Amino acid sequence: MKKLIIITGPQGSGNHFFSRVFSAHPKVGGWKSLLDKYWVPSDEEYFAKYWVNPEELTEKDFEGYDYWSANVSCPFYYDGVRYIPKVQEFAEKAQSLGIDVQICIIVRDQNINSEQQKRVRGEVTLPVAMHYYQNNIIGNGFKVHFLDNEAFFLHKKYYLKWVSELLDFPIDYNNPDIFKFITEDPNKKYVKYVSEYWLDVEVWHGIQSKENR
Amino acid sequence: MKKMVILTGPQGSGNHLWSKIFSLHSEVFGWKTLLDNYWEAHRFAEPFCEYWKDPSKLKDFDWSTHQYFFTSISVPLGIQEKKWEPNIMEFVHQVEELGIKTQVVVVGRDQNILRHQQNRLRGESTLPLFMKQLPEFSNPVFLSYELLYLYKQHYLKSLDLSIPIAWDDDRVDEILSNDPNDKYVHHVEEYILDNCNKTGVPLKSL
Repeated sequence: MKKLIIITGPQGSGNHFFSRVFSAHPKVGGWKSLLDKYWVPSDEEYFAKYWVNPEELTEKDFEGYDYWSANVSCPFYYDGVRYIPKVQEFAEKAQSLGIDVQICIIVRDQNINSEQQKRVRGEVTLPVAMHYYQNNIIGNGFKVHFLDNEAFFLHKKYYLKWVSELLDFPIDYNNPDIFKFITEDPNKKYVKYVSEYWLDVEVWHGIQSKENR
Repeated sequence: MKKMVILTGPQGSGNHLWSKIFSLHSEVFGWKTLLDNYWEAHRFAEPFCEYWKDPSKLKDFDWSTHQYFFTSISVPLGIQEKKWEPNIMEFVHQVEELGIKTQVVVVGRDQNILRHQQNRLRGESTLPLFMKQLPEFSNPVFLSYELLYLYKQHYLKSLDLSIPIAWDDDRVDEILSNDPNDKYVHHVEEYILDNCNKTGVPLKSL
């Protein structure tokens, strides 16, 4: 049985990045153009048109590979028009074609994700994604997993190895091409030093010996 | 078979936070006093703290009270010259020797925030000490600080651990009421990739 992992996340949560990770395995079909380019418009993703018209998906779209990854952000732009992707309908259509489907929702720190959306999009679309996922995807028939942007950048191949086992899906976690375009953690520019926090005194107090408190 | 979840992570990655969450369930022997206090020192209050110092003493622990057990510890523990590195796999080995099934759970948090938090509180980044032990863990499960604060109960419900999780407990909202990452994040005026999103033109490299 062919397997499909649908990767979806709020805008700016790491959709391109995780698509590159999954597409890097030679046995996995998907958004292969991301292996050569740092960024590609979302409506050039392999399955892009089906997020708008999932009923047009056919068996032919799954030829050539036993494993597939598909990606869409929520919301997403197709040919200049903003849509809420029909992830659930896409998944149901793929399942009706005999494909084993799992859905992965990407997460990035909500503060950073919101700042990114505000700057790039002029508005925070995170609530739109949250509403869609919580009301249409989570607990709606398909096994849903969460992919964590921060866990990847912290634990790298160890995290990806675990994800591969969890999903029972090939991930080429030792492939250096995964890091091809990554010069530094994309969260770094958003994070600033904090000189003090109300809990610090409690913690400093607590880590002294009892007689020195 | 009795089961124990052994949670570990870098200092400041949410060890206390997750300890609260996993101690909520009535059938789990965990760090229950942490549900009454916002913060407690691990080395005095965590129920297994003395066994982390010497895991061979675990044979003397009374395992008869519960079916499910939870413990947590950061790597390293303590501060500057007083810090030490708990041996996670030694602890696992000693628990398994007693016929208790273990599951190692690794917690993570944004690495930039971790570095700042550790430098402020500890005067140094201790992340490398945790990363040194990570490859030794057998089949760890990875949990995310950011995921917990974003999806809360939805995320907890989705977890498939060997102990029960009280994801529907009213106190989950209380525990997660303020996201501590917020204070570290600031606005960024512009970034090289911004124009790509606006124009739709592919970018070959940074």
